[in-house]
Amino acid sequence: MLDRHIDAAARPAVLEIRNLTTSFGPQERPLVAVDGLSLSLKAGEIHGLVGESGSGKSITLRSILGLIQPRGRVGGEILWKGRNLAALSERELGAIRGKEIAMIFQEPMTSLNPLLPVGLQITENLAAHTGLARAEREREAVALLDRVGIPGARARLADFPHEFSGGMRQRVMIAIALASRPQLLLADEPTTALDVTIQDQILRLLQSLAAEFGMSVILVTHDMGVVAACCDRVSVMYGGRLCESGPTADVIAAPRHPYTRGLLHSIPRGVAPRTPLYSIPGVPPGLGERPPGCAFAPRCPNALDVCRDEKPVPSVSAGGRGLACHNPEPGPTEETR
Amino acid sequence: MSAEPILSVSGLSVRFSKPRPLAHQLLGHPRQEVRALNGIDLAVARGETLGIVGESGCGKSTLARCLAGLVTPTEGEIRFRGERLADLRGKDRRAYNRRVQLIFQDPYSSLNPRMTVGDMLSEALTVHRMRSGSGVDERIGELFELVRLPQDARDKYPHEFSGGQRQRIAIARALAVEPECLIADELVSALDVSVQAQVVNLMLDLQDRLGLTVLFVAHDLRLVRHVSHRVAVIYLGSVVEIGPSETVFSAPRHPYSQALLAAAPTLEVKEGRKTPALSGELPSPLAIPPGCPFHIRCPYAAERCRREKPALLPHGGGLAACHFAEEIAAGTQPVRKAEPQPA
Repeated sequence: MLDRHIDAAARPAVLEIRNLTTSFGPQERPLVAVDGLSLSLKAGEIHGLVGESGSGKSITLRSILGLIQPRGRVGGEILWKGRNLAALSERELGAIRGKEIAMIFQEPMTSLNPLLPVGLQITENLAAHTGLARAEREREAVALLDRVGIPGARARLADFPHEFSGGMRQRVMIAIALASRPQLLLADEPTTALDVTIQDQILRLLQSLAAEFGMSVILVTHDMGVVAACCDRVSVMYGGRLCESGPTADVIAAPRHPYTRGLLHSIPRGVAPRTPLYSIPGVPPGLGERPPGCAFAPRCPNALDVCRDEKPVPSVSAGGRGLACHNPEPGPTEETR
Repeated sequence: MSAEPILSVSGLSVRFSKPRPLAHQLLGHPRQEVRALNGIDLAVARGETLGIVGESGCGKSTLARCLAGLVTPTEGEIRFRGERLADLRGKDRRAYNRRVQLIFQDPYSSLNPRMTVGDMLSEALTVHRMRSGSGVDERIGELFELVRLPQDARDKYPHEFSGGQRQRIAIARALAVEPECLIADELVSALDVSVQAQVVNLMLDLQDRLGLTVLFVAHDLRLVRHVSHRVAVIYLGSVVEIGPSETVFSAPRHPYSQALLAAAPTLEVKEGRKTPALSGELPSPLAIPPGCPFHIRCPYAAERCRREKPALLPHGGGLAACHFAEEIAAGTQPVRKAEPQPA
């Protein structure tokens, strides 16, 4: 297996999101779910997208695939291998969706068709996106189920989703997504509904698939632990905007945005048992009540006057770290990067 | 903390029998049973927090429901201050229901959407005849203060609150009747990380102020480690390890506890670990394997584990149910090769 961490840096970006803005509701008073998000993803890279519920993580994924129109409006550029997905027609997108870019959803319980055997749900995807004949499709389906770690794959092709456990259903979802050999996998909280032991298995599987096929992954999660376990880079979202991004180890070791810091700080580690945990005061703002300045300003311990009035502009510093904050935590000393 | 347990459980088993279709009855197929709990022994001291961890389907919630009196155990007994729960009748039983309160996992479905928060709390107060007349209003005010909700919450409906606030309402409802023991079934797992800490802090604070005994059922090991004095690890309805929190987390003796801890996400960026900590899944409680329930997934399993169910015996600072706990701790138990999983 390749040493992905060294290798990944040298690869070109396959997905470049520039200033993505997704809004809903009336034009004159829009509800902005994603506000000027930029992100770049290299081949074979696993990119964690972290944030609380309502921070716009899932909408970002759906915007990439054009799954939120016509009710939502997408602005900005989503450059996939040089083509702007945001400007493509529904037909052109159809050729990319599920083939080059596949998505797996949060709830394995509800996102499989309960009326079709899983074998059919995989071969369906193979029929749509590959030129394989029926017998070959069947063989490929068995190989896929086998690859994602479903024991006795051949015997289970005829089984219906309800005959699988949660972890197994999530594997089936991954197998369906992988059928067309996508170059990009969008994973929306793929392990949130699962136990830690099964989560661990699925994350290892995603890692090995990324390494093996050079597949890029955007992994949406709310758990920094999941990011630490498997992501090369991480972007932290709050209130629809990007707070901070960078290599996982760097961000976790030295978070610079007060929100990232609070998020990491509220996870008990190295504190005396039964002492109060650090908690970020307040609650995240609703879609209609985003403050005019920095979205995090009302809850931020570092907030200045400027934070309440002006949106911070994201900047990228050495070591590939992005930050949008008027008054960040002091950065690591220069020689570390 | 006193040595005298406030709540104790011995040999607790719960089996749910599966309905059998007529055809199966005619063919004489045996009745299938879900063995949710298989002989659980636990004791909780006054003022103590006992953490209960395990995978979904291991029986954590069934145990919580048994203790709250919502599920009647098939075998075994629950004792509250030395009295058997099964013997309590009438007034005594109602007193038990008041003294042991359960907080449910999902704050979105455990609050009646058509009742105001004030109505919910006054219902709890009236049913248990805690207060009457103007005392009810006064107590509701106190409760809001206790769980740090604004006083105007009284006339609002659950949908007007965020998840964290709803869980506070649930806590207020449980505390309304002045319980001695709280059973928190996944208290914060439905909440966002930044809000989880707020609710956990509230619970720790209330426990100290009111001298509550808490059973903290959760799957987030980091939180359980933080809040619990002692921890019980449950696998397929049996306690496989129990001991002081720090001992169990820093030096787990049962291979299942070890795997569970290894699989739990930490903030340490892991380089290199390519294989999962634990392969396979929890077997169905319809067909619990003979011998040690964990032997199918256990990397150390030997012949003896397939035949004989290990007893919960002292190992390290706590109790563990493993035939080879000492050998594993010493590193002398051979690791078996990964076998293909049964289809």
